[in-house]
Amino acid sequence: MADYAVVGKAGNKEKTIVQKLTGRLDYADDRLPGQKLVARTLLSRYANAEVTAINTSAAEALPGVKAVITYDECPMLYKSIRRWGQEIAAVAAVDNETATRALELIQVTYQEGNQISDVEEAMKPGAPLTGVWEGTNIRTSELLRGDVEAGFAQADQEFTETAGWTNFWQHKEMEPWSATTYWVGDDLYVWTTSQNPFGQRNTIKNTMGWPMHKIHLISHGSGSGHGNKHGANWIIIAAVLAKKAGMPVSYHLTRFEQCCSSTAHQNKGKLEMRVGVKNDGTITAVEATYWADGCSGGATTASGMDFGFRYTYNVPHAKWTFYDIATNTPLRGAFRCVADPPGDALYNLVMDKVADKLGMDPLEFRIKNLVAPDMLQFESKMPFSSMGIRQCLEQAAAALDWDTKWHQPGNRTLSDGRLHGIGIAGHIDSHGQMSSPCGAILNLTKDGKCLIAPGQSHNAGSINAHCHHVAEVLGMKYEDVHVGDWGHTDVTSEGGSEGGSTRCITLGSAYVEAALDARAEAFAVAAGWMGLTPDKLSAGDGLIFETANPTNSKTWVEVAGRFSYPIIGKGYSWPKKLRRQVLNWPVGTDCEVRGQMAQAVEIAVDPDTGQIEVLNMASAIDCGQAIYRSGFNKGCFGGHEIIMGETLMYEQVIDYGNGASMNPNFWQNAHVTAMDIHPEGFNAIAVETDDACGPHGCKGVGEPEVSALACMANAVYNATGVWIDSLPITPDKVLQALGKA
Amino acid sequence: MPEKEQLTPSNPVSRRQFLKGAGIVIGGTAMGSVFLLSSCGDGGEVTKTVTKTTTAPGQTVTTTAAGQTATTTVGAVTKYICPFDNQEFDTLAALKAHLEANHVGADAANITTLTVNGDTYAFVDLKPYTSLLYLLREKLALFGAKNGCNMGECGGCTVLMDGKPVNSCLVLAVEADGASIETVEGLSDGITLSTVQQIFYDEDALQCGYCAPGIIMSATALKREKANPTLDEVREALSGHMCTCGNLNTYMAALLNLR
Amino acid sequence: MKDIKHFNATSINDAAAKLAEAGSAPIAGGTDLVTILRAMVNPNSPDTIVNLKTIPDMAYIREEGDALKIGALATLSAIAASSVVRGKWAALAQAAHKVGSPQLRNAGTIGGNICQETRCWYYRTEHNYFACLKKNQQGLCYALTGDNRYHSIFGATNGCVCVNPSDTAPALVAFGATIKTNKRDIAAADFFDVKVAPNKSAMTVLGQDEIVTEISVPAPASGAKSAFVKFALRRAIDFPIVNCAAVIGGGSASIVLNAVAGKPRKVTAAEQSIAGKTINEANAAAAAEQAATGTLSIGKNKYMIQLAKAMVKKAILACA
Repeated sequence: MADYAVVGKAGNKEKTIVQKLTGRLDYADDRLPGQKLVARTLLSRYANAEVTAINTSAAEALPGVKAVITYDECPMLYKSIRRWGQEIAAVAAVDNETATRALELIQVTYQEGNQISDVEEAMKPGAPLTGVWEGTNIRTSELLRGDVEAGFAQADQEFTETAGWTNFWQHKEMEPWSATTYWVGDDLYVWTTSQNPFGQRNTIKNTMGWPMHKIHLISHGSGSGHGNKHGANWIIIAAVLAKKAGMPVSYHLTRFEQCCSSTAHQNKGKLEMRVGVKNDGTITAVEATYWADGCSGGATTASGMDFGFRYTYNVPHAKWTFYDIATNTPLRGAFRCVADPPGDALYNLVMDKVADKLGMDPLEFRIKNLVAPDMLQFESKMPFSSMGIRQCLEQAAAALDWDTKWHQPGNRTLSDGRLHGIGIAGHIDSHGQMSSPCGAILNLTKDGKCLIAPGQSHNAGSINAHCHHVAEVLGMKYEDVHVGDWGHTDVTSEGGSEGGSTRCITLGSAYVEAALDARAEAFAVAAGWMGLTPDKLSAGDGLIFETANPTNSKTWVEVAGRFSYPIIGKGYSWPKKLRRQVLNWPVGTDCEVRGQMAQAVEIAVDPDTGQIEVLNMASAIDCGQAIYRSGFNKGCFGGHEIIMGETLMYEQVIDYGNGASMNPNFWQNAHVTAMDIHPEGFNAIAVETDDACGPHGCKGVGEPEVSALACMANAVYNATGVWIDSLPITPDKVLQALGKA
Repeated sequence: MPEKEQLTPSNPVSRRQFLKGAGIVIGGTAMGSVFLLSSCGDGGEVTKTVTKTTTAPGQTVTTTAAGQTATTTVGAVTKYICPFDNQEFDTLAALKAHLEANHVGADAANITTLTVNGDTYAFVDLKPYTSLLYLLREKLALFGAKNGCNMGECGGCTVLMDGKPVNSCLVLAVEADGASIETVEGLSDGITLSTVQQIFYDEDALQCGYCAPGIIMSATALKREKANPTLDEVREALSGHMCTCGNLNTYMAALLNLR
Repeated sequence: MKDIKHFNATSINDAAAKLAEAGSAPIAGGTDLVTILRAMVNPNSPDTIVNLKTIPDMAYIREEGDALKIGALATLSAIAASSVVRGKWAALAQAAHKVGSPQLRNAGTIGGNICQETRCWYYRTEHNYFACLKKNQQGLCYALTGDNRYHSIFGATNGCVCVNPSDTAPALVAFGATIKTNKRDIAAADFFDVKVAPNKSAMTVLGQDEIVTEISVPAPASGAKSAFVKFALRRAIDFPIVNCAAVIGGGSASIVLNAVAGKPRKVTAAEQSIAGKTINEANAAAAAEQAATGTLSIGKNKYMIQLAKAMVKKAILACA
């Protein structure tokens, strides 16, 4: 295992922590105190309708209202309604209460259509059309691998198992969509929450036609992303209002708006899988059908739900059929991953069902069927730059004492009468890879420090990771590398999306290049001073020294004091190719870079109430190399809470009778509370396989941290002896499974 | 109120400068008037306002058992001065009576006075629907408390009111008359951290930071009551807080020194 | 929210006089009222809010003779922490302690807790999007045919299948408390109702200008123990799916469920089953079975029947 001076070391802190601790980091709404108008949106009362008339005159006349806009003036407001709560009009007023009152004065005439929000209704033959796609509610596709019938012919046994439906879970970031906008002439200034400042600028330009160089977008503090903050809907609404009102406008969504409007939720999926196995548990063939709710945006993600299965299990023959079904429900979008978590909840539940039918320990069954590091991925035919899935499963299991604690389903009761269960799941994820090209810039200061200026948002830990990469390459201490500004489209270089678990590896590699660039120039200065050539120099621990004679050294501070011109470092990210030989694949081979994980959980189930308590949990993630060590740990522990929420609590409840979201708030669309968790029982394990593509051997982890959802359902089966196929696993479902309701 | 505030590129205006800039707005607007009664008479630079006793920067506020806040004082207050006619009064109540009698409309209930982080403010003609959260953020530029849900379910707006954690989004500002409010900005000058802030700093215990100010206030109230809380006490103290980064367990572990 | 007027009452009479005017409503802690006003839930929301917190001496907690006397404005956190309440009236302290969160308990009052509106998600949808019969004339009950997983397992009250969400209510009923208002004394068991349109939507029998002033709780029988249990999806913040208070001992038993119907339900059959018996697993379970008497599922809430039994059993066992 590589031993770095800065990378991966414990004790390095979040660079903006003091600002956060003291309430001084600026989030989007922390601007222009008392000087900004407040925006509110009028949301549709119907899930499928056309707006045939709208009258805003009474709203406009309300004292304190400064602007009202409708779909005629803003493409983020709609006349054709395909989901309950879709935005029709927007108001900017002097305060929230005035704006809210103004909404009630807008008269809307709807022509109501047939809404179908229940995916099972929408996919029935002859179902009325949802109006999302022309002429149909269903789109289908297929994928073939090998010869599936030949594969089944080799099997000793066959099982057909089902899983699903999984659950809608609505984005509920602590900071909702939020932007403060104002105009100076035709220059637009935006402070916003974000996962992709440059992407948002691009979206605004493409949607509105405003010149890109006149859109000045800053994202500093950002209150959690999870895949919901790549777009610019709320920014555009605020900006159009601001233009019309001639005043700054803040659009900071209410919880009701955040659960409806155009925010997205993770979609639902269902699986039926026919599995052929030999008696020793080797899978010979698989025939799978996935259904996914494409919602009102017509998303096609059924095939994405299968990604982890195709990548993880060594199944040479398979046939997949995918059905995406449009419904009149809120838009589907990534929630901390595009489709891997619901996918895992489906295929990894099926895997446990098959193991159970075979009488095998599910951990053993999984490990037996994993792909091996020397295999090419079936579809892409590319080698993996690192593969730690096996170690992830083994170490997550070991952390929870799997060998002692796993038992036959339903046969261990705790002394308090509750049922004990343990479950595990894991896969090779679609995320964590080297993604689209981006650039990095940094400045060396004359007092021996480095300031990076990453062009990305700051919801998670990657900005701190970049400081590690840079400090390592420059040979500075972590404390001497700082973040100057970030997320500012006028100032920073395009740094890509804080999504897909890609920043640490992608922008990180660009920062390695930028650091090398700056270091070369600094070495030229040092070499001149020391009477050496730059190739004779190294750097470490704040010193620049002669490689062959380390005591011959100067400090970075001393060398920087001799800079006669400003030293800037510039770098671009690496392609997705091997940077060192792996097995027989040479440097430069196109490769698969994928985050990998296993999550295991130990639970107690109350058979009288159906309540599930998580006692212990472990997350083992193949991160290649943890860069910002504390961030890795916090991310794993955070993933525990999120997985608990996704499997036990999160549910956007839709009343199928009218398509309404019944719980557009934090109460019934719940995240765990402090009373629900045992921090002493949480475990974070870094499996460090030293990736052959990523900078300092890293890969992305943000989504792998929350992906092996099936661990919970598998634990519930282990506890009760009953399968609960659908999410969330709420007390009512447990009681029904136990025959008590 | 000599507040040595750490200025950042994105926050370049000190609170004192902002408050000076807010000045005196006479007469009602839809948002209500801001009437500044208090400032620090720091180095002779004064607005037409009143000096009063405040805590020195970084000095811990001591709390008595009844939840009343006792502050250590630096610089004795002498007079309360009416900014309209410069008349002087010995007590805040006397000034308030003078204002009600001479400078505002007939509705005597229309002045709201409250103390925030040791500074006293009076607001005239506040709209009753104005929440304390809105007042803190938009009138006083204290942005630490966050609007996470505006309905008391997430704890992001938590401040201490007379020493107790409350959801400021659910407090009508006019009903905070006479209350003493503490926000996260009052715990530190931006450079020296309070006890709880230092614990979270030492453990590197934050992620996106949005829920942090609220949690810091609840944890501060807890630590004032119990220097060494148990796991259950920490759990309960934080039980009114959401954290969608999943960081609750890390905050708890930091407060308990678990990791 | 409406551009509300605000009135600080200086006495109960002062408050009552103001409340007698049309379009006014009282505010105590505000943790429920502010959310309802802000979401514009009700088509007939008040124009004037009458602040009860400015009335002096309304927040006391004291033992007077044999009884516990609590001013209506006593906060839930003060009640939960009170050594007086935690002694003989433990179930009430536990109930107050289980409400919401520390922040909500620091502001919320017991008066407000027993007067709070239902949480039915049709009722609570913003801007009166579901013009239900509780708040609209000619409205209908959407929960009857919709998602009723949290709704009444004891049928409708005045056509409405909402539930009473208070945690303190079942404890007060179980102790046989008296709710004193400026007009009368009302037994806790008679205090609750489901008021629907064309009456003003409410969950109590209070008149327009009637204010809760004090809650008087008699001492339980000598040797009796009491307990409160709450079931919710999460262990904080959430309103109950089912809760239960029990006062058992000295030959008698008082067991009250809430969040299962429009008003707290005394589980008489369970009381008769356990009264005078040793509290053990078997007896508690037998008594708990009685909790299902009279229940019915209206579609998605069948599991609540099992939860009702489970909570009765837990409450009984906690009195051992």
